[in-house]
This record gives sequence, C-alpha cells and structure tokens, in this order.
Amino acid sequence: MHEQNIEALRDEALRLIDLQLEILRKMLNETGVIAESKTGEIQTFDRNNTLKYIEILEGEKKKLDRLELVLAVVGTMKAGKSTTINAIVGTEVLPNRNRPMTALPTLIKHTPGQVEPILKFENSAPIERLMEEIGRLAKHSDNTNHIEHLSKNEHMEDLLELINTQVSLNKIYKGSQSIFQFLETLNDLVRLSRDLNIEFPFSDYDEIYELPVIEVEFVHLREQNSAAGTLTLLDTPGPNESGQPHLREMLKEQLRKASAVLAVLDFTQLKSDADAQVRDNLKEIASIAEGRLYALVNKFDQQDRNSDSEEETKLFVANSLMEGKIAETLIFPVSSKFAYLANYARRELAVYGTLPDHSQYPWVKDFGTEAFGRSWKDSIANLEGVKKGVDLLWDDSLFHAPLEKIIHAAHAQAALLAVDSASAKLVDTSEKLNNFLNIRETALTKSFQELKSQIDDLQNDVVRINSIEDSAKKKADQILIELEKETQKAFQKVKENVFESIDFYFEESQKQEEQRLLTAGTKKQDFRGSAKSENRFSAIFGKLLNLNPKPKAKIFNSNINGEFDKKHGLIKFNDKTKAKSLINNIRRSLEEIIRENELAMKNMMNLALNEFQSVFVETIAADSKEIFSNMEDRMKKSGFAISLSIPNTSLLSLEASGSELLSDLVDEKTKKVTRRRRKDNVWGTICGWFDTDDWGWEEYSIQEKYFEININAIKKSAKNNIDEVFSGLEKDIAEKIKAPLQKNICEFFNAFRKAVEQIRGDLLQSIRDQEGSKAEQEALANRLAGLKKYVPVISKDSVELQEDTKNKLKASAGCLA
Amino acid sequence: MTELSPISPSDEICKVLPCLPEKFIVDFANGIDVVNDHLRVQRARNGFSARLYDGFTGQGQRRQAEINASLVDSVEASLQWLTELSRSLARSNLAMTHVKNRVAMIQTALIDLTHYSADTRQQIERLSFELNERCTQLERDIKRIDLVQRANIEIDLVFSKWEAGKFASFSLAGRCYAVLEELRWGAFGDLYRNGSIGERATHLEILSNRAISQLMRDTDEASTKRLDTTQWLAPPHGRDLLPDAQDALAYLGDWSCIIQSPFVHAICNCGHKLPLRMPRICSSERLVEGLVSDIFRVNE
Ligand SMILES: Nc1nc2c(ncn2[C@@H]2O[C@H](COP(=O)(O)OP(=O)(O)OP(=O)(O)O)[C@@H](O)[C@H]2O)c(=O)[nH]1
Ligand SMILES: [Mg+2]
Repeated sequence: MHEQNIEALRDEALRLIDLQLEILRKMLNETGVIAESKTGEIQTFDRNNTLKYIEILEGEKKKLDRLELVLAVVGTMKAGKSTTINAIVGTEVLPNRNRPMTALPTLIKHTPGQVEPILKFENSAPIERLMEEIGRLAKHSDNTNHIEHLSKNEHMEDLLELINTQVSLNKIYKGSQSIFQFLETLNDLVRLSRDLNIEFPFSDYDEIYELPVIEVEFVHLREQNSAAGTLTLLDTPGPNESGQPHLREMLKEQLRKASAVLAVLDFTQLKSDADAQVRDNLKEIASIAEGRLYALVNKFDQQDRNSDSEEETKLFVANSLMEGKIAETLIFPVSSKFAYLANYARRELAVYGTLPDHSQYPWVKDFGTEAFGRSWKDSIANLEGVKKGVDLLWDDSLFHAPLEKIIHAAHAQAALLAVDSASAKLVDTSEKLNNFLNIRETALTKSFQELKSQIDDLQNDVVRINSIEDSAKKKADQILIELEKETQKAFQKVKENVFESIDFYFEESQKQEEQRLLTAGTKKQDFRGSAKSENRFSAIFGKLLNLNPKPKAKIFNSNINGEFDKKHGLIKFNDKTKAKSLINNIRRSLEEIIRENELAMKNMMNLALNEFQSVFVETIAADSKEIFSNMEDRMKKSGFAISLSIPNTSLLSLEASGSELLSDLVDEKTKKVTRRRRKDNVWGTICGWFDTDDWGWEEYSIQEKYFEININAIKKSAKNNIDEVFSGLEKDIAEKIKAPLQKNICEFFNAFRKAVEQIRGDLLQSIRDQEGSKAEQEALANRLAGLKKYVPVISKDSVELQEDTKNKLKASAGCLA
Repeated sequence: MTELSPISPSDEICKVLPCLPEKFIVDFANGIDVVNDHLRVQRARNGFSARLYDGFTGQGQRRQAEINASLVDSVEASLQWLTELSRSLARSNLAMTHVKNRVAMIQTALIDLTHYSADTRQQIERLSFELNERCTQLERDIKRIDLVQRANIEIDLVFSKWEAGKFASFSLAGRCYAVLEELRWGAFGDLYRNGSIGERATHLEILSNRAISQLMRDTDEASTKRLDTTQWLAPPHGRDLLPDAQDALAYLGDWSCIIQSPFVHAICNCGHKLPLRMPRICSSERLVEGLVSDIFRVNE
C-alpha cells in the first residue's frame, strides 16, 4: 500500500484538536464539572487552566492551518545567495553587488498582492543604541585615526554622517530603492562596529521574528493558491561575515528551525572552495540541516566545453566538497542570474505588459543580452519574442525543477513540525482529560475515608519526589566534577600534541632551510623551489598531522630567499612582501595543526557529554517512572484508572554540544588575550597575533632596511597563547554547563510535582462533589460519563499520530542513509 | 441509463448483497403512510431505492405518468405488494420481525381511521396473521436448529465470498462494511442479539478478527499499519466492477449518522466531508473496531 501522506497527518491533527476543543468547551458549560481551584491546591482542570488549554489548542490549530515555511539560503562568499532570492521573488529586493552585501540576516516574505516591496523593521531599538555608541566613540580622540581611515570609503562617510545627524531609524521602507539604502546602512553598521571593536547586538536578532522583513509578492507563487502556507526566505551573510561567534550561533539556531536550507555554491569557485575551512563550514551546515539541505551550484551559465559537466559537477560537490553529507540527487547546477532576469522580465510583463526603458533600467540590457545576444535591442521591441525569450532563459536557468522540489519539501517539513508540536499537546491533554474525568466520576462512588487516604498517599509521593530531586542535584554536581577531571586530562593531551606538532614543524622547517641554503648558496638570488621539493615537504607534514593526507600547509615556502641565522633562529629578508609571505605560511601551518586538534577536542567533548547524559538522565527517568507506576497501581486498586507520563526528560539533557561550548569559551578567553576579530576556528585569534608587531620585525625595517623574522619568538609566542587558552578551560566548561542544568533539573521536578498535585487537587474537589444532593451527584456522574465517552479513542489516536510523526521526522532526517 | 433501470432480485448486486431485499421490505413496510393513504415514495429519497422498488414490484415497465398519479401507492396497493414481497423475498428473522411489528402498528392505526374499506381491514388482518405464523415458525427454527452453527456457516459463507473477490467492486472499507451489514441481517445478527453481554463480546471479537485478517490480506499490510482514510475509502478501479456498488452501500447505510456511526457514514457517503469522529488515518484494527461498534453496538 502507499505511504501515508503528510496532508493526512495534518488533517488528523486538526480533527483531534477539534474533538478535544469540543470536550473542553462542554466541560466549561456543564454545571459542576469545572470548579475554581481553592488556594493552595491545583486541579488538573479548573476554570483558568481549561481556558488556557483551549487557547493552546487554538494556537496549534492556527499553526497547522497556516504553515510558516522558512527557506534559509546560505552559501559561500559571493556565490549568489541574494541573486537566488531575487530570482525566486522576481524582482530586485536585495542588493547583489560586487562587494560583500548581506551582513544581517533578512527575511523576505511572500505577500500576495504586494507588488512593491516594503520592508518592516520593528526591532530597531538595539541598532539605534549601537549608532549612539558609535557616535560617541567617533568623537573620542583615540579613534579619530581609525575613523578617518574608514571614512575614506565613500559609504562609511555617508554612514558616519547618518550617525551624527540621525538617531532613530524608520520602521517602514517602501520600494526597492529605499530598502537597498536601508540594508546597505545596516550592513555598513555591522562592519563598522566590528572594525571599532564594538559588539553588534546580534543576540537581539536571534529569533526569526526579530529580523527585518521584506514583504512582497513572489512572482513564482503568483498563480498558486496560498493553501501551501506562507513562504518566507531567509537571506544570510556569507561565512566571511559569520566569523563572528554570536552571529554564527544565531545563524545556527535559525538553520535549525528552518523548513529547508538551500546552500548556494559558486560553480566558478568550486575547486578553490575545496579548502578546508569552507568544507568544514558546509559540513557543519549539512549536519545541522540534516535531511533538509539542498545545494544549488550557481553560475552554471559559466560552464563551457572545458569545465565540468552537470553530472561531474554534482558528483564533485557530493563527494569531494561535501564528503557524502548530501545526496547527489539534492544537488542542482543552476544559473540564478538567468532565473532572476527571466523572472524579473516576466513580472514586468505581468504587471505593466511591457519591459521598461533599458536606458533607465540596466537589468533590461542584461536580460536582453542573455536572452538574445548582441542584437538584443531589436529583439526586445517585439513582445511575443520577449515572451519566448523569457521562457527560454528560464529553461536555461535550470531553476524550475529544484525550486519545485525544494518548496514542496519545505512545505512537507513545515507541516510535519506543526503536526509534531500539535500531537504533543494532544497527547498531553488527552491524558489529563482521561485522568480528570475518571477520577471525578469514580470518586463519586467512594467513601470519604477512601478518598482521604488516597490524598495522604499522594502527599507522601511529593515528599519522595523532593528527596529524589535533592539527590539528583547532588549527582549532577558529582558528575560535573568527574567531567571536569576527564576533560582536563584529555585537554592536556591535546595540548601536548599541539606543542609536539609545533616543535616538529619548526624543527623540520629549520632543517629544510639549512638544506636549502647549502644547495643554493647564500647568494641573494631568486630561488625557485621545484614542485618536487614542495611534495617532499608536504609528505613530512602529512605525517605530522597524521590526519590529513594532503595538507595545504607548507613548510617555509621554498622561494623565501632570505638569510638564515640558525643559531638565533632568525631569517633576514630584503623584501617586505617576502617576509610577509613567510609569516603567512607559518600562520597557515599553525592553523592547520590547530584545526586538526580542535576537531579531536570537539569529538572528545561530545563523547563526554553523551556519557553524562546517559548516566544522569536514565537514572532520574527510572526513579520518576517508578513513583508514577506505584501511584497508578495504588489508585487502580481503588478503582481509579489513571495513567501518567513523566515530564519531558529532554529538560535534563545538556543543550550545548561540545563544539558550541568550546567555541564560546575559547572565544571569550582569546578575546581577553587580544581584541582582534577571531577566525572561524576555535583558535583563530592566536593566529591573529601574527598581524601585531609583537615580534618587532617592523622596527628592523625602519632602521636597517631589512626584515628579520625571529622563528623562536614566534614559536614561543604561539605556545604561550595556546597555553593561555587551555588554562582552566575544563573548569569553565563545567561552570557553563552547571547553571542551566540546575535550572532545568528544577523545572523537571516542578513539572513532576505538579502532576501529582493536580491529581490530589482533583480528589479534594471530589470530596466537595459529595456535598451535593444524591440527585445532583447522579447528574454529575452522568455528565462526566458522557464527557469521557470519546476520550479513550481520542487518546489512542493522538498517541498514534505522535508516533507516526516522530517516525516521519526521523525518516526525513535520516534519508541520506 | 443505469440510473433509472430497475434492479431485480436476480441482479448481480443482489447476489453480492443478499440483505438488499431484506432491507427493502423493511423500508417498504415503514413507508406505508396510513394517515395520508399512500406510500412515502422512496425513489424521491434515493434513486437506488426507487430502482429497487421498480425492480422488485415489477413496475419498471409502467409509464411514468401512472406512477406519478400515485395510483400504485395507495395503502391498499401497498399492502398487497407487502404481502407478496414478504412471501417471496424476506428470509431473515430480522426483516420479518420488523415487518411484523410495523404491520401490527398499521393495524392499530387503521382502527381510528374511517376512510378505509372493510376489504383493506381484512387484508391487513390476513397479512398480520401470516406474518405472525412465519415469525413463530422462524423462532421455533432458531431454537430447534442450532443457531450457533447457522451463524458460523453464514460467517464462513460471507467471508469466503470476500476472499473470492466477490466484494471487489467496493472500496477496502466498503468490503468490510458490506460483510458486517450482511451478517447483521442474517443468522449472526440473531445469534448476537440473543446472546448475553459476555457472549456478544465474544461474537464480535471473532467477527473482528476475521475482518482484520481479510483486510490484512487485501492491503498486504500489518493490522496495526496506519493508512490514510482516503485509501480505505478509495473506490476500486479495474474491469468488471459492479456499477451500482457504491449506490448499494449508500442505500444499505442510509441509517448512519455522523455522530453515532461515523465510520458507516463515511463509507456510505463517499465524496462528502468526513465526519469529525472519523479518523483521517487508521489501521485495519481501528477501522474494524469502529465499524463493528457503529453497526452492532449502536444499532442494538
Ligand atoms: N554569471 C553569473 N553570475 C552571477 C550569478 N548569480 C550571481 N552572480 C553574480 O555574483 C555576484 C554575487 O552575487 P550576490 O547575489 O550578491 O551574492 P551573495 O552570495 O549574496 O553575496 P554576499 O551576500 O556578499 O555574501 C554578483 O556580481 C552577481 O551578479 C549567476 O547565476 N551567473
Ligand atoms: Mg547577499
């Protein structure tokens, strides 16, 4: 038979919500079923929380009815993220120039009927505060040099002007022109604050609704009905911008929540993108967006006889670049530029019936030349011909198939997530309904004594829960200490490994330098290293790193052509650029060493955290389950049919992953060492030191016109920095885990206690039920029986819906397997 | 013009669903309106029942004008038909008992109505007597011949029809409904209604298990595998399907309601909005459980 489809899951969730709402509303309307909770007691359903349950279910219904699809667009630098979005929208809503443009994520939301784009930015206060701060700093004398330097750039001048004259931003920008200007301002602000070393308030923008949003009708969706839900695109900064850790965290969070993630790669840069950093970035995205990731290989219009074919390109991306993290079938070579031009023209034709004047709108020329070649001017005069040209260009863009597929998949994912959230609420509410109605009905037939003894027993359960909580907290502390010890040991080892690698690197390098001087003599001649010698060095390095068969890092470049003073570890140059290039080589090599070890550290952290997880969570879950099952048994003996599920144990899990903990902490530490911008990898800042004049080689240049690099000083300095980063790291990690964990443990046990208290509250209410007359009690019993009639099937259907959904989610995440 | 062509007892659809004539007679008896001296014409309610009417009463050939003049629909004519039909068509205890009770009601009603002739009064007395005789006979049979055995034979027969593909013209859920409805009218229904609470539960369990295993065979899925309800309700496609299959089910289940019997309602009103109480996804277990409860627990 066929697989069940997601629409059916959605319909079923909506149906079950309606049934539950029906019951809850009836409960409110029928006399005596819902009472006010007395102070000091809580009932499973009282007037207040019943209304709250209704509200929650209504909320879930809305989410199911109007799915929010977020398609996040990520990608390598200048790969064409913004162009791709413009193509889907069919108009130029985002600046796509030849300099880095997007610095703050921006939403573009399909809004039927909105022909002219309009940008709304409610959350402008944090940016305004930033502008104030920049304004204040700009006046400070220390920064005038820096500012002067920056304002050589025309844009920065405008920006500083703006900062000095205007303190508040508009909340609405109408039309492409003013949207562009605003976005450019925003982008410049992000960069300026980075250059001035002021923290940009990224954390004020980590929720999707906090971002600026452009509302516009997507030409692509014009003809489709909106039953599909609302499609929103998320334009993200390139990875060069996301070097900032807070932006990175924020992006990751947003990718996690996105319905689908579209990675845009640059066909013309594919081979150079294969560098380790980019690959790492992509792989990280792939693991966050597992099962939801699609890749566009953009600028495929640049493909020619000599370059890779469509098939080869897909294979290269799947295997070499993404190392199997994405299936070949989810990779699509396209030309966003073609698609954008075709859709732009299509939109103009649809809205105005003709193309605008090409002398005023440069894109028309672009469209013309791409669609018709050199004779474009004549061709665009013919309307029929233009229409054909649009279609052909759209076909050539290869955009159609991936777009359909991705939007479809995003829709399915959004629906699945909405059903998942709804089914959790459904299961919870039906369990509560079941317990509540059963207890109240059964209790009417019980004696006061019996009820009283049940109530007392529940009181004892609460006491037991308190003691489990205490021991859980103690256990957490104890395990954290163990974790700290273990990580310390492991980190020590990593550190030693790094030091060893550095020693080895410098030793080998010096040997080679001596060798070179021997064979080449000391003449200040151009020395060209042969490809062979490079290979030999690579081989040594390969062994050193032991992980990377083809390291990019080279030992001192063979064409350094400096004088080597072995005794003092000094290399002299007459040429500054050559000295600089040696420094760069050393830096790259160190980065490589660090990168490899960082990976080992992350893996290790993750292992340790998992271990913690399984020990801790499982014991608490087991204890909790035992209390509940005793409770159920005890009450069943008295004729009360209840069932209880323990609170969400994910509360007890550690939210942070090893890599997050490391990035965060190491970042804070290195920031203390130097206020330089850090690179993407954990220890990027260490290498940032190369740009300072700590080794004094600039001074030499002034006095003696030659440049000297002190190898020993570099080595020592690198080690010092690494040492600094490692000191007490394990303690900080434990601290970082501790506070949220303690808080979550409290939350878990509060939920646990609340479940017991509610049942106690229901029994207390039952005692009051018995104060009514015989006839009243009978009537109440009938009402309760009528209300609960359908609860068991609703409950069963809800549980099965939840299982179906979880399985589907698992399957969609693991579809690469 | 299949829509209007009469359906006679020898037609294929009546062989597949032998309870069609049983239900038809009960409806016929219920339709006799003594106050207004006519038969509430079922053809107005459902094209299918009109075709049964034409086919079973042999009036298919009559001219439309004559039918419209409702000459044939007078109580007198109706009683005549009822007498004939109950002799030739009604076999089940359930149908006979219904008709007997209905005729008794008519008889009482006639006492107060002066405009009926002595002939009519005589006619109904004769019918009533005859029906009472038949019912007593049937009841005696029920006691004499082992009801359990007859019910078992009936179950075997109905399920073997299902296995043999005789219900292939119905949707998956429709097959299950047809089988349960058939059994309700027959010996199994008698057995069920005569049982104690405990016995009833056992009968239904046996029935459910057989229905589930046949659905597992039809779908080639486990009994717990949840499928979209649209798949359960999808009309089959293929050659040699009975054109009247869905209409016949709709006729059989015209008693269903969206609250008390959502499963039957969904099956019989294919193409309409699904009732709120009908799951949008269900396993064969859930489907059978729902149908059994709709048909047996609610009806009795
Ligand atoms: N040939 C060709 N060029 C393209 C295509 N798509 C984009 N470009 C060009 O690539 C450059 C970068 O495009 P953007 O869309 O700004 O790229 P981006 O990824 O948003 O860049 P950042 O936001 O700065 O990271 C622009 O000059 C585009 O015109 C394409 O399909 N083919
Ligand atoms: Mg961009």
